[in-house]
This record gives sequence, C-alpha cells and structure tokens, in this order.
Amino acid sequence: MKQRRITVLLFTLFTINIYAGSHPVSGLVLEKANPELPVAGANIYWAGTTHGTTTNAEGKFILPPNGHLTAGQLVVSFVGFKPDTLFIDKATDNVLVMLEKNIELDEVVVKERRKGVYISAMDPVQSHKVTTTELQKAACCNLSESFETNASVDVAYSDAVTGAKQIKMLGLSGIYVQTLSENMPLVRGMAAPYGLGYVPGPWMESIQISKGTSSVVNGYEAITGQINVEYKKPQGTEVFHFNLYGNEAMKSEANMNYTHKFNDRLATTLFVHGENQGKEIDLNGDRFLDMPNVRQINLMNRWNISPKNGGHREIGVKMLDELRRSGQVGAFEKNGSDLYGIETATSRYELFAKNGILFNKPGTSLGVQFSGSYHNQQSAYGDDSYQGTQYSGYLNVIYMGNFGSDLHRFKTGASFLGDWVSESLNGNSFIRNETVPGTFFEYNYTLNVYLNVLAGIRADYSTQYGVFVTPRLHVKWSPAEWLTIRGSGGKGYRKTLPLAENNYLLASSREIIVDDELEQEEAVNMGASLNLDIPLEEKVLTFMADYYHTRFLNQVVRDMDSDAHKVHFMNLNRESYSNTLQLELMHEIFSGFSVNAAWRLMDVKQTLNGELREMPLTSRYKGMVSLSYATRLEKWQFDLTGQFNGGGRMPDPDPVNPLWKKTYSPFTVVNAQITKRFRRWSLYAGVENLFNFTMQNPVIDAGNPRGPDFDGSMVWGPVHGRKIYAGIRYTLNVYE
Amino acid sequence: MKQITIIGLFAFFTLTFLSDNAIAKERKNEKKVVLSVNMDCHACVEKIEGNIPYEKGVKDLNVSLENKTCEVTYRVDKTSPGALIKAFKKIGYSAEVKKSENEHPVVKPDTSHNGHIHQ
Repeated sequence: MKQRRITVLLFTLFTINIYAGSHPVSGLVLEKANPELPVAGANIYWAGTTHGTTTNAEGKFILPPNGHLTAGQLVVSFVGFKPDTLFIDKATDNVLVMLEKNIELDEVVVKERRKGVYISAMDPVQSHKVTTTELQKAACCNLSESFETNASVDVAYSDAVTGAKQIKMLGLSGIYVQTLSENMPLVRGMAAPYGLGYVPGPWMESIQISKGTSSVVNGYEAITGQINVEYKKPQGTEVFHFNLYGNEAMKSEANMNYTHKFNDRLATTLFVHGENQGKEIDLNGDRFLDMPNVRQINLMNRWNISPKNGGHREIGVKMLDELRRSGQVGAFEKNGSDLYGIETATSRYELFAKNGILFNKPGTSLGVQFSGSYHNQQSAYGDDSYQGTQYSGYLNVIYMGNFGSDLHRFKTGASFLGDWVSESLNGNSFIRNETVPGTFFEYNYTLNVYLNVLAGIRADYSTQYGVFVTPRLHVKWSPAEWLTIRGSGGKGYRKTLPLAENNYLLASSREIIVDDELEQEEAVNMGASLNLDIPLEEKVLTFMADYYHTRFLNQVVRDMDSDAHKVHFMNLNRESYSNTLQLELMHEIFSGFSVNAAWRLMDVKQTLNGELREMPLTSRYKGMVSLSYATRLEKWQFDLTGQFNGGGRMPDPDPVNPLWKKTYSPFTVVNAQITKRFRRWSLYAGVENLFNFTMQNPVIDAGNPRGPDFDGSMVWGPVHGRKIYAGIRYTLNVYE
Repeated sequence: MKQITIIGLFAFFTLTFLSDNAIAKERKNEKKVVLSVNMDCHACVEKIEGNIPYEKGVKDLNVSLENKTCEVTYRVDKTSPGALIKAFKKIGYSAEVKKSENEHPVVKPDTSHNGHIHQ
C-alpha cells in the first residue's frame, strides 16, 4: 500500500508539467433532494488518478485537466452521499453534479480532535495558526509564554536583571518581527522590551505566525516574520471565563472575561487581568533577584456593532499599569537605598476602531483600521534614570475588489503611521518623531487550491528617511493534495529607537554610545518551504521544511564586542545576514497522542569592526519535541515539551580581565503540564524547567553593581530554575 | 550528551504511551449506541460535545451533523441508552436509538470516507 502511494506520488510529480498547460474543468455540486443546497467539501477527482480537488463553501470547484487531456471519468464523492461518476470529453466550466443522499450509510463517523495548530493550506504566506487549545498546553500567562510549543519562534530573556523578554525568528532579534494585534501595531518602539507581557493569555483567541515578509497591506516592517494576535470577540461563543494561577515563586495571577450581548447587533466584552509577584526570589545566591517583582493591572473593553445594512464596526480601549522592581535583594526596603535597585513604572492607553463596509458588487468591500496609543515609562537603574513617552497613531484604509471574478482579486489603499517619541536619559533629552504616509496595491491570483500568487508593492514617505518602496511576492503551489510548495521574497524596513528598545542595557556599567546619523534599517528576505501531508494508516503525517535567507542592506548594529565596557549602536558597514533551515514533523500517532518534532539550523553573521563574525548570544541550532496525549473525550491531557538549544558565541570578554567565557554550551529546557477538564471547570498543574537548568553567574560582577565590570546583559539561558505552578479555569459558553 | 539523554527519555515516553494504548484497546464493560438526534447546526454539535461527555459512564462520543447522529460509547454498569436519551432531553434535544451494539467489543471506526481521496 505504502509503496503504491510512493509510486503515485512520483507519477504525479512527473505529470505536473504536462497538465499545467491544459484547461481546467469547473462546476458546481448540489444536493439532489434540495438543489438550492450546495455540497461543500465534496471530493472530485479523475478516476484512477490522485488528481483531485474539493468543493468550496458554495459547492464550486475547479479541477486541472486529466494528464494532457481534458477528458476522462470524473468521480464525485462525499460522506453521506452516493458517489457519482461522469464522463467529461472537453474543457468545460459548467459541470453540474447532483449528489443523492446515501440511506444505507454506515453511521460510524470519525471525530477529528480539535487541533491546536493549523497550517493554512490556502494562504500563500507560510503561516501557522495557534489556537486556544494549543495555548492552554502551557501555563501561558501572557504572549511571551505562548511560544513554548512552537518551533518557529524562540523566546529569550534580554538580560539577567530586568526580566525583559524578546522573541527571535529566523535567528534574528524580535524587533525584525512585526507584532500585531488584529492586524494593527502592537509591540513597537518603547513597548519593545516588555510589550509581550502586555497581552494576557486568556485574552487571546488565536495567534497567527507567518514566516518571511508578509502582506504589504499591514505595512513595511515585517522582515523575518509576522505575529498577529486575535483577541476573543464579543460575537464569539465565550460568555464568561475566569482563571486563577499561582506558582511556587509566589506569583499569582487572576483573569476574568465577561461578554454581554445586548441584542443581535450589539455586544461587548470586558477583560480584566491582574498579576503580582510580591516575594523576592534569589536562588542562585548572587544577591540579585532571579526575576523581577511585577505588579500589573491590565484592562480591555471592546464593542462590536453589526449595522442593519450589513458590514461590521468595532471599537475598543485598553489600559495598562505596571510596576517592575528588580536588582539587589532588599533594595526597595526602608534601609535599602544604598543597594542597587531597578524600577520601571509603565502606563499605557490604547484605543482601536475598525469599520467594514460591504458593497453591492460581490467581492468588494472597504475596511478602515485605526489605533492610537500613549505609552509612558519612568525608570531608574541604580543611579541612572530614563524616562520616555511615545504617542503613536495608525490608520489603514483598505479597498478590496476583483477583476471580474474571484480568480483575480486585489487590495489597495493608503496608510498613515506616526510615532512621537521623547526620551530623557540622566537629564539629556531626545526627540525622535516620524510620520509615514503610504499607499499600497496587492494582487492575488487564486486558482482554487492549486495556485495562489500574492504580489504586492507599497510606497511610503518617511519624514525622517524620505521615499522608500517595498515590493513583496508570495507564491503557493499545490500540485497534489498532499504537497504544497511555497516561495517568497521581499523587502522590509524599520526605524530604530536604540534607547527605547534597549534601555534594559542600563542594567550594566557599559557605556552606551549611539551614533548620530543612524539610517533606516533595510533588508531583503527570501525563502522557500515544502509541506508534505503523507497518509499513514488512518492519520496524516505532516512534514515541513523551510529555508530562509535574510540580508541587511542597512542595519543598526549593536556592537558589544569591540569593548567589553561599551555598547555602540552604529550603521552597518558591509555584510549582515541570516540563513535558517528548519525541518518539522507533526503526527498523531494514534487517536489522542500527537508528536511534534522540529530541528532548525541557524547561520547568523554580522560585520563587526570590519570582520564578519557569528552573531553573539544566538544559538547555532534549536530543536524541539512536543508530546501531547489526551484521553478519549479529552477529560485528561498530558503535555511534555523539550527545547534543545545549541551553543553559541558570547560577546568578547575583556582581553586582560576576562569575566565570562567566549562561548556557551548547548542546554535543554523541559516543561510538562497535566490538565483535567470538567464540564465547565478545568484544573491544570505543571512544571517549567523540569530538570532545573540554570546559568551560572548570570550577572557579571554581581557583588559590585556600581563598579566598572557590572553587566546584566551577558545572558544566554534560564536564570530561574524549576518552577511548579497550578491553576484553575472556568468557562461558560453561549450554547450552554 | 545531556541533550541525547533527554531525547532518549522522550522516545521512551512515546513507546510507553504506544504500548499502553495497545492494552487500552480491549476495554470491557463498554458498549456503543448510535442515537438519532434532532440537531441542525454547528452550535448544536458544540452544545452536545460540551455536555454529553460529562454524563456518568460516557467514555467516547462521535457527533455527525450530516447524519444527525451521535455515537456514544458507554459503560454498561454505569449508564444505559435510556439514561443517555434523558441526558439529551435535558439539553433540549430529542434522541432515539438508531442502532445499538450487542456483546461486541469496541471496534475501530471505519475511516475510509473521512473527506480525503484514497486510492
């Protein structure tokens, strides 16, 4: 059986070129008893081949020709219906198939478990969608902790003292990933160091992760990838949700979501989040807190309005207040003023609105997205003080239309992005304002599930850098149901705010030098990926491989190598690139037990001081194995994830007095969780960092924080060891 | 070296689960019943999947909207088709036995028509 499949696969590969030139057959599949009802998801294929397709929601299909001929027997089948066979002798676009219900149907139907991760088969951009099912596999307090079971995104602490976290994609810093919420800017500028912690886990409905440059519709900033968070919607099924979490480090967290539907057209959801870590934890005995004491209050309220004449309107507000304290144990006690303390107080307010209008012509619509934010940060790092304020505004107007049919669709529109940033470091002030109006056009060619081309271009004008053009192209080709090939290429740009994005570097005695004329960062990203769905007995094994190359035409380089007592931000001269190769396997071995295994090799190099060198603090490889077992009916769930991080290079230590090693070794972190579900309640308990792996001496010269060698930024692994946690969730759904 | 040990540990767990599952397939005291249920929407499926599994003695459930049927696997010593029908009534659906299984052990579901093209 297996051998026959391989033969069929090979046969298909060789025949692809032939049928690509002929004309397709298209048509419609309806129910015989109720001709007004289309049959969605029906299988249509040429008899004796694997050339097939499925009908869309309207029952329509487009099937490429049978080999070099547009002739043969067409088989149409669907669960619950009698299969039908038709003879086709020429290319036609009006095949009408009426399927008759099968009365003697075997009632046994396979229930597919709700998947945690979906790999979009239609999207021309390589993307994964992470659902709440997957998010609940780990403690998942906030967005920064949502990628533990994801092979494409790495999350690392930026330094050993402040608890700032950053994500990495394709081996490069998270600042090159465009992080959005509902397709609007989320983590930018001043929010970069702690912004991932501003999105509580229970607020999220799903996270979409795309690799490489993405659509031009959302802007020019995605260089290595895009992460888009969708919050839970007032029109969703959840009415009330409550979550309480606690861990052995005395961190506690409470969440509450409440939805009220006034009528069919008006609904609102209120989200409340509070967290507190009151106890000072120092397990490695270096007198520095292993993680900051954070107190956060976070609120969101969103409204959904469905106007009478169709379309869609939304408005929402967010408010955040956070206080983070770290540094030496006891620094914030009454007589602790001589100790080294770090304090960051943040307040952030956001407003967002969306409006969608549908026009009479099918397939045409207008969308308007608006968001505005105010962000204020007041920080003290020992004797240094940093204050910053950022106002941001974003407006995007998108018109969607088509050229005659759904085969040729387009999006076009205009956008405005503005950032007004004022910063002050030890009394020296800086103003960094930029406004960027832009316009874009994106063409999408969709030949059913077979071929999808997304070609986009945008032109923007920056008040700081002038005019720049962003072209991007994505192609998806599925020559067979089990095979998808994607290719992408494009450019991306971004403005650097060295202090706002890196102010956690003040938790070191390094002198910060920022060059005056920092240019706009500019990069080209190219990639290709392969997705194989191999049927193995009754389950499908998914194998994915992707390769991405990112090359910077200009980059703001953070040089920590030339001098162990300085950090220097400057324009790149010569090369900087990243190559990554990732292999990933997903398989449900038997009902309820699934495995996800991945391996990624990273080659990231940058020119520093005239020499092309391996990027410091970047692992050479990353592996991940995630095992998940759910009993029938999913009343019990067991999850185990291992992350295998390769070693890498450290920034050069001082040649005379080296205080750290030149390299770091590979290390492994294992997390495990058990969930027990009841009708509305569920209980979970788990362990982070099961084998208690921690870095030795994460803070350089911790005993002397006001001395010249103190440095909290030389961190490559976990600072805090094993952490046991437990929690409880309560969910009431609308259908209950 | 430590990484290899941990990878080995993961492989061990996988194998343990595999063998455990093989044993679990021969479950005694379990029967299947197919009920016809008057449901007509995806929300109905969610409602049934959110409630019926938590009825006493229910071990597995497969809902088919196309056929308007629910296949329930249950423990004979804990519940009965009659009690299951009552449970459906409680959440607003009328159900009746379409096909009940006699003394057969649980069989693997037939998966040859699950929406994929197979040759």
